[in-house]
Amino acid sequence: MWRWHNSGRNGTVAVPRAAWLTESQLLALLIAGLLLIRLALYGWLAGGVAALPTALCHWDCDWYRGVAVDGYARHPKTALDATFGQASWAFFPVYPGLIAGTARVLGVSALVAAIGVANAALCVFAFIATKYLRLVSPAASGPALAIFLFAFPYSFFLSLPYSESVYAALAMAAFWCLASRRTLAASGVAAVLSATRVTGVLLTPAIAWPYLLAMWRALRRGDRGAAGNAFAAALLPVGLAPLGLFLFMLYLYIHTGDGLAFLHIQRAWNRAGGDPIMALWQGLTQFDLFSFKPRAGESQTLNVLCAVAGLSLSAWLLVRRRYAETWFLALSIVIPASHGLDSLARYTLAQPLFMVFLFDAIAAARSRLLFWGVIGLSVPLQLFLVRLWMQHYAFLH
Amino acid sequence: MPSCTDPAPRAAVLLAALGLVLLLGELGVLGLSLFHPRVDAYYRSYYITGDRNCWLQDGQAKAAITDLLAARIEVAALSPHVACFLLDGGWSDMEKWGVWSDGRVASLELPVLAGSQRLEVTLIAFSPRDRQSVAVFLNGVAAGRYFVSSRQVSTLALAVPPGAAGNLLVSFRIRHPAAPSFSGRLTTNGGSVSA
Repeated sequence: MWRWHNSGRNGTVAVPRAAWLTESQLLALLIAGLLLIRLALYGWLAGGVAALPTALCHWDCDWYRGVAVDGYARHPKTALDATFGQASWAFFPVYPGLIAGTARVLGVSALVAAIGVANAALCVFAFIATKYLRLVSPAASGPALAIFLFAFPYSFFLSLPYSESVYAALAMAAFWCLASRRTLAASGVAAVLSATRVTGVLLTPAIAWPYLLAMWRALRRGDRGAAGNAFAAALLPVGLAPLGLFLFMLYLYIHTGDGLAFLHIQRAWNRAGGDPIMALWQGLTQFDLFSFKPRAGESQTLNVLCAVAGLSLSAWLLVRRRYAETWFLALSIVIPASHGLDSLARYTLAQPLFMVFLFDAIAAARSRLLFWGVIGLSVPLQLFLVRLWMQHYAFLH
Repeated sequence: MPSCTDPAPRAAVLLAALGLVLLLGELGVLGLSLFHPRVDAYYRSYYITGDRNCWLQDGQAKAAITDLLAARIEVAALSPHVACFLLDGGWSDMEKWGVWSDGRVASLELPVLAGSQRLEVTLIAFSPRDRQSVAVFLNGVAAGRYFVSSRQVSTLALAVPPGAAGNLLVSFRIRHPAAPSFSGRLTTNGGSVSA
């Protein structure tokens, strides 16, 4: 009853296909299997599955858990310790909201719920990514992309109690809707995305772009009626896309008195707005790649090199005329860089579009050896990074 | 030709109106957040305008200042947050022994009791020459120019302006800022006056 279904570009990956299963069902099974293998390996690294939640919860995890359990504080922290002056307002509400809801419905701890939500979102992200890539790169192999996403070294962040995977799933869903010309659906997803992380709001110009283009073309041919129609049609999608961010701002304004508290509170982490180009240049010229102490802090040079890789991929997307993706990926790197280089490696390498189009670039080489070579190198590297994460190596933070 | 009572155009108009309402509401939230934040002066000066290097909650700030009134204040002996609160601007990072100024002007915001007449400031100046020229301002009014010996502890005696009570802003304007370094060369870090 099993037959081999070759959906890969030049046969990159061949998976057995049962006649009674649809391709989507088979893909879902593959993703579930990959997740089980990943969690089993992580559990092994943590010394047991029961120890896994605690082993994975470091740094921002406590903030998300705090918001899920206690909600947002009205004032910054006043205890005279390292967190003095900081507040949870920098952590957007969708992920902690999902944690709180899951913990209440399933009757589990907030930490278990945080890991459950993150890994469920990882599966959704992997599934939608295959659908999206099939639209923009028809020869791409869904199963191969799923394997790549689970193997990619920095994709371990999508299994951590961080908002990365929820953000990735929502961003991918929004781009899938855009690619399949369901603009209003894309706007609805973008609204939720903008309440997941501030860079989610970057989808709004991408959603507005086709309408602006239609208006411009109508005006060029002197058709004011068509231009007016395009303007009117743009109002709801453009108004809807950033709604999540503005609702969060309204909440913060009522709760703390400062609607931009999510931005202003960055000061307590020594993140101040500045010139991203200068910041990237200064980081690059630190030359601390071999001298930084990975247990104590980050390498600015490594962070910048990751950002440069992300920007290079953006340039490749621009050449391919994927304008919305170019905009979103490039700005998702440049905006955090304007507030400092900390965590820039994570912001770039765990970016959903970065991972998907890195796979597409590798698949474009049409080499089965290259693909499996990358997977063969990625898996041990990812496990190594997870081990370091569990040991509190601050350069990953 | 479709009329305005047709369901399709009517739905389009309703959706556009809904979009317009959303956009106006969002603009309203943005305007409130940008132009009318409901926060105290301490929060504003640290988180929003960036005028200060640190933040204390309103009550904490008042309590800290009350504790310091009429006492000899040694910056290095204070908790970092309270010390940072007194260092109004123009200072480098705190060190165990005190803090260097950073740039041409450095200011302290000191609590003083009503009726105080005299303020003593103990500092160490640095200059590649023998002396550093420092002009002192109290609440923005010139209180004198001093030539302070380099690398030595000096004390400046200043007259508190009549009527000064609460916070007194003490500003040091350094004529030739220079930075000491362990190798004896000038660096861009540190400064010329320490508190």
